[in-house]
Parts: sequence; structure tokens; C-alpha cells
Amino acid sequence: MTANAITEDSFEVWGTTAVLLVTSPLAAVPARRLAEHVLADVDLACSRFRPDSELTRLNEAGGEPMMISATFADLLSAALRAARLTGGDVDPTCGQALAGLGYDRDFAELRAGGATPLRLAGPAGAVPGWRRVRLDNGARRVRLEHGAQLDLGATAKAWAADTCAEQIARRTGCGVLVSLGGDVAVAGTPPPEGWQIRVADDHAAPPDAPGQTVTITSGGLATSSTTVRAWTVAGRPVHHIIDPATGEPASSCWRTVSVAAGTCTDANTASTAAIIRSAAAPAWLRDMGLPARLVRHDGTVETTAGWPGDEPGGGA
Amino acid sequence: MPVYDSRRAAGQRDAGLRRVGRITWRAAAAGLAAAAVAALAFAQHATAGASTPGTSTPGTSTPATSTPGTSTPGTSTHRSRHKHASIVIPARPPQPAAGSGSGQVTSGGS
Repeated sequence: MTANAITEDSFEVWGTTAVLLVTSPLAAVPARRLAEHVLADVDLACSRFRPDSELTRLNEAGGEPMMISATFADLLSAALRAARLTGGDVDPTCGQALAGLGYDRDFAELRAGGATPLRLAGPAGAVPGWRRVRLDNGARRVRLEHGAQLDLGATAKAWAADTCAEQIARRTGCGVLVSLGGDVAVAGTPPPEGWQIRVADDHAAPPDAPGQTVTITSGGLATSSTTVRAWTVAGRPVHHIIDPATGEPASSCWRTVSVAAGTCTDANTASTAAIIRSAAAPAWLRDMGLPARLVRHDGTVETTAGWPGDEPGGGA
Repeated sequence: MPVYDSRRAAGQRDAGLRRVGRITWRAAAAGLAAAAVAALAFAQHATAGASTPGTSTPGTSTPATSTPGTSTPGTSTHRSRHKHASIVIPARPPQPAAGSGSGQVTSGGS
């Protein structure tokens, strides 16, 4: 099979672009249907901007326990796992911190200047912490302690990409790539040349934008960046990657980090944690054997664990 | 009149000591076996509780793999990809692309 046999479909979701690539044209329609089903499920479970989502209702439950769906339980499990595996660097209880920066509505509206930040000055302080989330997965019951407010933005999109890819591959029997705003998951038999992925600061960047093109054949690849989902609060530039220790946007020596891992969720967990860990990130990634590409603010690049070097003139 | 038989008494003493030794040995072996079983059970419990958000409270978070049923087909397989206790490295690191063929996507901030 050649690259020309790959069928592409794309559509807007969650204020970003979803791209589905399948190795058989016959799989395109069922792939879209499966993806839309999964994405609708995830949206109803954990959108911070829907009053009827389970996450919104849990955030408003005032610490009372709440019964939840299997999908939300899985999403919460993924978020808590990310927190545990990163020593709390990727923390789902940063909802209040983001809302305090005005990010309490759809990002397009926020960037257009429609938000009213709740907190304009003074330190936010550490987030409540993932240990405040009491999840009984077997009983599908969860409770938030000490006023914790959830935001699953660090893991939900990647989890959705993993789930879409896995279901599409199993139902259609073909190779599939799912990209949700640059969170990429692949499953099934890949094309012979592998899945080509351009890594860049912005998932919406044109193909000739500075970056690097690599191929993967399994798992996932995710990129976290402080340059795209960024806005200003009272003249201060801020972004969406919260350092749980301060409750403020992470102050990192990296503007963009891309990581390849066994799943997109793990890749995104590591790339987000790397932004927060700043200078300590390369050693952490190397210790785990995770291939990564880290871009400093001046555009210089550092790689870890077998990530290929940039092509000449590729730029960052 | 009873005659004190020192050789018989020594033999009985030795036999008694051997019995005590056997009992002690069996008790020690049983203790070791019980400790091994307890250690194994604890290890399994600790692994299962690893996703518990930092608490010893019974019944808090269990691994995603234990979630019964789901409304989303195939989620169980997905869960199996996330049961690992550490971030999973890829089967193979990314490779340099030979060219910009069709079907390319961009991974970047969003």
C-alpha cells in the first residue's frame, strides 16, 4: 500500500481541528462515525464549558459525592494517572486557576477578549492537588474535596484520540491516525512508510512552517506549547499550562515540547510535564527513555532518547 | 524398686529434642510461607492502589482496568493500554521522514 491510498477526513471539534487518516477508503465513513460518537461522549463527560457536562456538575457539587458515567470515570482515571506518574506536575485540579485567569469559557471567545478575569493581581497559590479527587472507579462515584475544581484539558483530548484510533482500527481493520488539535494517536497496521507527522509550535501551522517531519508506526505523539493557547490578563501574557505548585502559568525555558510514547495520553502527559519541569525535563525524559524534542524560546532544539536530529534548515 | 536407666533417659531426651527441632522447623517454614503470601498480597494491593490519589482510604480510586462495563464500545481495550504503572515508551522512536508525502498531519500546540 502506498501513501496515496491514505484517505483523509477533517472536521472542527472543541475549537480545534480533528484529522482522521485511514489506510482504506472504505473505512473513511465508519471512522468518522465512530470518532464523532467518542468525541460527543467525551464532550458530555468533561467539557468545562457545558453546564450539562458531568465535570461541570461535579465542580458545582460542593464536595458532595456524585455518580458518574464509565466514560467520565475513565477520563478521571487517565487524569489521575497522569498526575501520579508526573509527581503531580500534571494536575487535574487546576480548574480554579484557569478560571481565575479568565479561561472559563471557550478559548475563541477568550482570545476575542470576551472574558472577565476573576483574579487580576496577586499570586494564585498552589492548586488543591489531585489527591483531593476521591474516585471510586468500581462504584463510579467521585467526590472533590476542599473546593477542588477540575480541568481535564491536559489529558482528555489525548485520551479521546487514543480511544478513537483504537476503536476505528478494531472496527474497520485498517490502519488509522487520529489527530485532535495536534494530539496524535495511531492504531492498526501503519502504511509502509509510517505515519508522517510534522512537529511545530502550532498544530495549525502550514507545512512549510519551522519544525521537523518524523514518522511513527504505533502509539502516540503529542506536543505542548506555551505559544498557541495564550492570551493576556491585565496586560500580562499568560498561557494554559498551569504549574500546580504556583497556580500560575508555568514559567518554562521551553516554548514547545513534543514527545512520542506508547499512547497519545502518555505522550501528552510527558510533554505537559516537561514544560512545567523546565530545565529538569530533558534528564527526566531520558531517564524514562522517552523520545522528545524540546524547543527553547530562542528556537534552539534539544532532543532525547532517540528522537532524530533536525533536518538541515528545518528550523524550530 | 525402679532403676534409673541413664542411657534410656538420654535417648528420650534426644528424641524429645529432635521433636522440638522438627516442630520449630515446621513453624518457621509455615511462617515464611505466610510472610511470602502476605507480601504477595500486599504487592498486588499496592499496585492496585497506585492510582489512588495519595490516600489509604479504602475504596478510593482503582485502576481504570477495573471499571466494569462501558457505554463506549471498545473502551476496555483502550483501558488496557493505560494500565501501566509508568509512562509507556513507544515501541520504536520516531524516524526521520523520507519526504513530505500525502497524509501528513501536524502536531503542535492547540
